[in-house]
Amino acid sequence: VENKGSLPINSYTIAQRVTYKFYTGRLNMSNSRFKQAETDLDFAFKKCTVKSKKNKRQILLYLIPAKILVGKLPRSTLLKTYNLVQFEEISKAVCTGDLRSFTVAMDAYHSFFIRKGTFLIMELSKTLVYRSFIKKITNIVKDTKIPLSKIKRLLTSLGIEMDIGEIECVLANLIFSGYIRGYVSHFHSTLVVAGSGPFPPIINITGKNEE
Amino acid sequence: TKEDEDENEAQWSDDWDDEKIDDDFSKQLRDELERDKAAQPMQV
Repeated sequence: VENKGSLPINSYTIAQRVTYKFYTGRLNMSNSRFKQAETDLDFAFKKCTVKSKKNKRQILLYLIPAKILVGKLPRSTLLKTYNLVQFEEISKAVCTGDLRSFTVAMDAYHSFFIRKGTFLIMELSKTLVYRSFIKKITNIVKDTKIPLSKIKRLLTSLGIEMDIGEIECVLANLIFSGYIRGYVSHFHSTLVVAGSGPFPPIINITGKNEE
Repeated sequence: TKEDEDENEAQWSDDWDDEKIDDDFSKQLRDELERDKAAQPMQV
């Protein structure tokens, strides 16, 4: 949706601009341009009058996933105000790296997200949960080298069964996308993270991948 | 309006991504790692 050749954006009413940004935001979202989607939907949410709580809630259904993917989590007061507890556990899991509670919450609200058309986008936030999970382990063990067998055992303790190959694949994707700076030594079956800044801020990564 | 502005204040947190390892989940992971260490045979 381009605005070329039409009237300047500020000749429209705020209500029209809110509607416009809501749809461009959703369009950007389905084109995986999450940073742009966040900007558009954030505009729509902020400018939408507080009196139309129903519309604001409608915007949040898309704004929250977009915000999560750029590394901004909704506060529980916001979720309570708009009765969107569906995002509560998932946001918490992104922060803590608790893969089990993420999976449980995704299962519980599976049909809600499908109905809203955001299920696949919510699934993308699993990458961030993995990132937090690995980050947490490196902080606890205070080491830059983590044997994959250790990661496997921790996953098992959470009730998640993954073989070494699968773990290696997840880690390779995290590294390739830029969420982790480091490498996987296939020979030593070990993850080696960078000595300085091994986990770059999420906002830098989401933007970069979209260019 | 003022009401709208207040509504939009501080609804998102972007300072969660820190090195904190004192939450329940961290504790759970640490316990598991300790258990794992204890189970390892002594190196000769």
